Amino acid sequence: MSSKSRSLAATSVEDPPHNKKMKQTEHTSILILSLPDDLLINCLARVSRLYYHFLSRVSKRFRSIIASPELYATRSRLNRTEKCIYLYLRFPFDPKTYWLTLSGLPSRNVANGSSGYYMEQIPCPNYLRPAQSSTLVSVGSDIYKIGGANHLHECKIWKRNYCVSVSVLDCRTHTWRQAPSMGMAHYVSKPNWIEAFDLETQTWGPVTNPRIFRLYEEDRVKGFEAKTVSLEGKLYIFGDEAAIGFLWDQYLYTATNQECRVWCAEIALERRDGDEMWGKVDCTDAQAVRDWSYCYPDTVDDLLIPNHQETREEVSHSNGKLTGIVRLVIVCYQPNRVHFFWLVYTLSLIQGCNLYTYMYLYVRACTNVRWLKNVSCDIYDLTLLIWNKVLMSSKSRSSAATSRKDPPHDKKMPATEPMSISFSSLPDDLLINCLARVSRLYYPALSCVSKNFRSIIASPEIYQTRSSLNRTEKCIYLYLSFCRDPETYWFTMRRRPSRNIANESSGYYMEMVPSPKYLHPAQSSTLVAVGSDVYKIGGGDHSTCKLSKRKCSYSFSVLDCRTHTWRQAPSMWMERDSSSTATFFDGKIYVAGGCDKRYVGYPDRVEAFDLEKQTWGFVTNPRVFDRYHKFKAARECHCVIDDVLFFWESGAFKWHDSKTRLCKEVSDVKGLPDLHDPKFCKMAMVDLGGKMGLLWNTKTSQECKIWCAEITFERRHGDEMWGKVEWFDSVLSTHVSCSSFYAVSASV
Amino acid sequence: MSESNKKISLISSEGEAFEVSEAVAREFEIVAHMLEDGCSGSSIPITTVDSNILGKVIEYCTKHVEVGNVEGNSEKAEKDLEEFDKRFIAVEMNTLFSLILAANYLNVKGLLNIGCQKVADTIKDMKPEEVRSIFNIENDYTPAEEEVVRKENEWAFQP
Repeated sequence: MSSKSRSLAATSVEDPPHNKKMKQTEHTSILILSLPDDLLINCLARVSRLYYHFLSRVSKRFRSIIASPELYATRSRLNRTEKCIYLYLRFPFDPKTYWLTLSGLPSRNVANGSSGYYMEQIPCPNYLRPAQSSTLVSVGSDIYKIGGANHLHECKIWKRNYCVSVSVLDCRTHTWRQAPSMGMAHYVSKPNWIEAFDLETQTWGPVTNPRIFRLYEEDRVKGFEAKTVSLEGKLYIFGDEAAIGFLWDQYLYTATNQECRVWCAEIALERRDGDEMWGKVDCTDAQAVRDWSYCYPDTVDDLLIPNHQETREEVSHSNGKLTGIVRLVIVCYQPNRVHFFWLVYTLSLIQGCNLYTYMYLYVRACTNVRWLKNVSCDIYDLTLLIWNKVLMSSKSRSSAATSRKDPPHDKKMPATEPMSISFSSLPDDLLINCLARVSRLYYPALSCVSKNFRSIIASPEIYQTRSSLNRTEKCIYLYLSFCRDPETYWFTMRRRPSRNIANESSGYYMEMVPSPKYLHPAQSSTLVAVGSDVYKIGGGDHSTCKLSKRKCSYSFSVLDCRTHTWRQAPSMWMERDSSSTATFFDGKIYVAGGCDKRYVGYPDRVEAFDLEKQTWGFVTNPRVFDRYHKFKAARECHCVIDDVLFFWESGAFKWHDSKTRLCKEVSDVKGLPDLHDPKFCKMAMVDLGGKMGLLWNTKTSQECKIWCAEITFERRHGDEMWGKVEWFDSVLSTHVSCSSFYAVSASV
Repeated sequence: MSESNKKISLISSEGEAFEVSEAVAREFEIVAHMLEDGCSGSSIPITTVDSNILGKVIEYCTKHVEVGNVEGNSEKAEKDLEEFDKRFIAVEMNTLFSLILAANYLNVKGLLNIGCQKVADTIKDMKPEEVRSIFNIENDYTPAEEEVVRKENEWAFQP
């Protein structure tokens, strides 16, 4: 293929000068560094971009030059732009996007057998939504990511599988930005609805007479429609109703001469023993790409839904010949019969780059993701691969850049009224002093105000000020785990500004806290909060479905609730599972229980973590746990508020004062829903600084809701405790497969 | 204190002189330091604060010194003082910021405290757009950036 030969040719051309340059720098390093910047840029602009990754390690100055826009300006001026390959990977059960670009190893590092090419990951912000299966199109040095499934994996959010979002990756700086959203949120009744994005005015508009696609017919694309193309400074998206819904066949490189074929298999499904589903391949057939649109039934949606029940279970299925398939669509239009369509490319370029190991299947299964998620969980442990070429020259880019600035500029003007002194003119320390007094619940809203606000709210100083002003608050942190999902989901409670709140809502909601992918053990750990840190102790290593044996671990990690960053802390001496209990006392975190059966001779073996020395040690005489032994039944749901232990036992709130040794029922807690109802699955209590935060979840067939109540307690006559519910509301809705949640409150 | 009757004049940026007792002047920590450093001249220029604001700061300090001098009956006095603070700080934003700046410069801790608290109370429970307009903050986000910030860490599932 032409691209292949080009990229190979590019390397062979680039290598010798590269070597030469290395030698030069060895001898005359002073000269290179003494060059003025513009000359250095002029030099580096001529180096293949494949090696920029390595060049930037040379020195700080190199690094800053390679990151500079001037370098890329010089590249286009010198007509030295290259086409670079970008890859976008998606994994089942992973809501994140992974972007990679092809890099080359300097030739001396290359072992004999290897071509020296490798994929380098480029940053992709956590918040980049929609995460999955978007349409990609490259214009100059920008990659536009258009529409697609809105978030997370299909298991949880099945409703949001299309969206209007458009984001842009600048391939020069590897930064992302949002572009104006498309005009069309859902599908439109008109078939072949086309939108065009004008790069100059940065606006979307419908296209009435799409003559542009003639071009591709003439190029013999053979009916396999390119769903997005760029021509004459405009980006076009088109497709029929179904395609707009989920945009599945937008491959631009089908316009090159690579062969592609659509395969079809019919698989008969048989249900055995009620909970097993077996599949048998009845026939397979190959069809030319030209017929793609015909073999895909238009009314898939209607046909799928009746079979939804039948295909709910997992399908045991093996087909060793699926390698090389890039795209697979499952259609079901007869009872108990599934049709799989897939697409095979001759991927010479990708194989030439040693990339074929990345070739996986991509299941996009029709419009009905509910159906897909149930069928495809186990048969297709699949990965999506989308690749795209990027032309590293951009004449449209620079003009787009200037015009993009205009609309916000216009907007700004009326906002700034003449005023002698404004809030922004206060020095930062005074601003911090003010903002530190605002409740942390509102910080997300505040960081939207301006960039300065945002940086203040992200700064460590504001939290120092909060503690020096004695304004720390107890914030609820919540941790959810889902069956079959190895990821961890952390949330913290926030509040919407009250004027936005519809009458019935309290305005409280849960906001996601980033949690790194490597954060293991994922599930069912014991949590303990010390100041603004939440310690996560031991627990199952993964989804219990997969590794039922690994319920314990030594792991000990810390969430800094001020910055929402994680760090690893020293491991424990003993492996523990989620049934361990932990408490903070006198500068140490004590952990007991939850050990493996091997240690059955040492029941409740206790370890303590010294926060000052940052070391673990065994506790020989663990008197600190005394009070927990007494209330073992209450261990699941209890909290200590102002030296009073509150717990939930046999359907009632109870309290225990360790000073007076009283243990009584709370006299009255008015305003709570009936917590005896079986739909209440789990409860948790946290201290909210003198008040109690009570959390519980409810499940319906579609979703799992987390509720939160704030309860104040009043002690009367010394031995009576009265409770009052200040508010309660559902704060988070999530998928019904939510298996457990843990709550903790940290003072921030 | 015998010195409490001594008068000191503070000169505002416009050159206007405010005559205050030394006890009140000492509420301005910056002035207190000057006095301790031996700048015992009877007039002290406060060049960064204009007459209007300086007058208000002096009003605040005078009240606090007065109440501080009254012995006994402290609970009522404290309540009065709180009331006074509340009324005192209920000013429009321009003045509020000037007061905060002046309090910061003159190092009047109590005033700085209530000033900042007032701002915090105003901010609380406001939408970003409202905060911008109340405090006259330029929106330096592009709409796209703002969207990104808004969407950050948003939980996807909103049935």
